[in-house]
Amino acid sequence: MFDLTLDPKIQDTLTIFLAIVIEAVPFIVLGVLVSAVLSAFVKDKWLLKLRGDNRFGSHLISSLLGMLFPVCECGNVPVTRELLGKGFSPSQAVSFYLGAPILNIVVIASTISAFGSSPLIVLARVLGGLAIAVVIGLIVSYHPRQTELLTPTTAALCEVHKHQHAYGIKVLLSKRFVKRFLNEFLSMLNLLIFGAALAAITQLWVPRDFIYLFASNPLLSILAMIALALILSVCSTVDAFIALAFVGQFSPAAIVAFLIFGPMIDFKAISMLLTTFKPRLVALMVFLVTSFTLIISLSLSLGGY
Amino acid sequence: MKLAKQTEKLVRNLRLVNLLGVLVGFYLVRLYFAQTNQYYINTAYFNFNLLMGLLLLVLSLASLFFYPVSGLRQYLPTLLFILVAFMTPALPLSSATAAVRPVNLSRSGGELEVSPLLSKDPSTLKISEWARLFNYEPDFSRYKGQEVDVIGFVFKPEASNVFSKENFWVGRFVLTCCAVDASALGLEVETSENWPGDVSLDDWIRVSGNWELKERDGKQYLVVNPKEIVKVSQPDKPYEN
Repeated sequence: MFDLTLDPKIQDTLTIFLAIVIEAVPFIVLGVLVSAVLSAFVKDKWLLKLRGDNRFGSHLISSLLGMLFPVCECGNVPVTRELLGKGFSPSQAVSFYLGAPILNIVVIASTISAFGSSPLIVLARVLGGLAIAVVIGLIVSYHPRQTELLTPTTAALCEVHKHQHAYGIKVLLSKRFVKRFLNEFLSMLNLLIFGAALAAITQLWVPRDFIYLFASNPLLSILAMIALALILSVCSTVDAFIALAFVGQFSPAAIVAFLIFGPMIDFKAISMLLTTFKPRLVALMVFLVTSFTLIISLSLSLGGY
Repeated sequence: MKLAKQTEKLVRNLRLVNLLGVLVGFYLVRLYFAQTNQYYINTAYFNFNLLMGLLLLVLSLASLFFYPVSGLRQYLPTLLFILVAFMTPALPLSSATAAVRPVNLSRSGGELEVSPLLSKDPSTLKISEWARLFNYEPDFSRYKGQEVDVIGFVFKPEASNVFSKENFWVGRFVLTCCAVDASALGLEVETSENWPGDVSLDDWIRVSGNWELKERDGKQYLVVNPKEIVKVSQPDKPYEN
């Protein structure tokens, strides 16, 4: 359209920024559609029955729900909101949000195909991810006033939802669906754009050598891989292949840290989470996920991996 | 105050926020048909991207009739994204990215069978095929003297010294998922000191020559000893798989 020539480094930063958004937008569309289908065809009482009322059991089921709704992290936030609308507590929604991007058939399959020769990495990722999702959900469940954990708009959405009893295809063909689709999509997109910009800028302007400096020390190498996961913001369905590139330089324990932390927390996920949860809860989640990832990876590292 | 209210009304009446959704959908669809999507994402995502882009386009167009949205200010990031998306020239990644990424000489095979490459005429191998071969058979002495004939862009990994026409890399990017994970595969080229030709970063060139085995810091490495280097135009598919 225009004949614009940019400095190569700026041009590449923009290309990477656009690439993250282009890659993620279809998954957000899919996520909003899956949550709409969930809303239209899955009766609240079925899901609530599946979930149960037991504190531990309900968080375990919530963590594993990703097996039923195969959406990766970008499409995950709309589905999390839908579950809140269906009567899941914020703490159960947290368990779902953290568990789904790892405990997901597509992700497990791609991890096996990348790391099939080191089953320890696959197991540590799947079981570690499950443990973190359940435990953090349980911790959050002890907050006495759960609705205070949600942003006002999400809390209001849940209220409206309680009075919606229509199900079936007509819901998908209604004006309200179009309204909801556009609202959800645009609010996710807004925040995705922030995360993508941050990731693209750090990618090109923070020297990668700086991260490799830490590869030799066990604790520092784990922290470096966590930092890398935060910056790269790669989709969990393919992050295993990307982790392969680090196998030579980093220990298996550090690779596991990348594979557990990345799907749960990264720049774009943090910004999208802020649409749903209060900043305080998001900060707590980031802190806890980081701590538990460190515990799992350090124990592997002490075990000689 | 009155002006702000009237602006909001105008935004609502003109369906400006709804148009943002339409434009994002249109952008995705256009990328597919302009074939510039290859600069951003792996080919495996092309169809999914088109499908979801079309759905987004249709649903946002429908919203123009049913549901005017106000609050353009709230969607400023999206507006900025659309400006960047439509104004940034669509180009493949350049040597600027190769300089900040670890450069791989070898690459794991993925779904492709590697062993048939061994029996192929070496001069027909692409850069990504050489990289797979080095990963499969890392004994460099095996390749000594073999013919190389590849097309790629000129770059220089950050790890080594400043760029010179006597020693540079010719390479291609490969994407696993999207440009965020692009890694540069490259073959090192060393020309003789009084080589009359000239290359600069990001030139697309065709290099033909032979593999030469050299040693640096006690480690063996392969370098292309070029017979001929010609400048070519950027290929239709600048990335390899």
